[in-house]
Amino acid sequence: MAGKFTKTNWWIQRLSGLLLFILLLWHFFLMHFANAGELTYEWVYKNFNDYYIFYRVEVILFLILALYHGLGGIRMVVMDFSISKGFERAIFWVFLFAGAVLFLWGTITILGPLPSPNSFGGAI
Amino acid sequence: MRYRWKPGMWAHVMHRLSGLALSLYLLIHVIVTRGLISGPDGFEKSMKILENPAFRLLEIGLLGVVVYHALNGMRILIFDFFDVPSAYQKPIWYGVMTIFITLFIAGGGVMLLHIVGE
Repeated sequence: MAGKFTKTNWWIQRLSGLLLFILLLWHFFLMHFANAGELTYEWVYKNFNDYYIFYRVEVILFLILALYHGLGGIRMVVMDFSISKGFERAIFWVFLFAGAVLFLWGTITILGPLPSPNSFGGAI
Repeated sequence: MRYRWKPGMWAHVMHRLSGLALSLYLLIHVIVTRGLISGPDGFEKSMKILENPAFRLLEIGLLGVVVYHALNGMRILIFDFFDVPSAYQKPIWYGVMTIFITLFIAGGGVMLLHIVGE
């Protein structure tokens, strides 16, 4: 499993890096030019609902790619200190689990409905 | 046995450090976004923390690590996928540093002006 994963991972790290670069340019354009305005809850509420594709989908794409690329990167650093094959396999599963949890957490946050700007409550 | 602190070493270490910093940022960002999205009250509470000048200075640091990591990443892609001779590694890295410093000073300068201008 580790052998096949490493070969594919080499490609995906680079591909995700390139896609993240393009997403970054899109993000910059979105934040500073299209629909730019003061950062208020109303702005978030309006853009995340009216422009679903641009804001929510962009965020989800960012999340998947950055999580994969980032965790893959940290894994690379950890591997440099690897002690055994067992260690490497354990790291693989730990990072996969952590990535899945963070992805679900983030996706559920972003795709869920936003409370109306007039509502009360909502804790951190 | 010692490392040679030449451009190649700097390129590698800065790429790793910026990558680790960005991963940490991602984690914090996911948590903060949960607060911001949770409703007008959660938004206000989170924004109070984020408008602190200390955080805004950290944002300039974020600009730095993102720009360096992205530009150096492009250099890595060039050499991984195209048949460019290794002799070009150093000059291209200097190019990366030039673009990085330009964008960092320009962007960071604007951000600093906004922070100080309050």
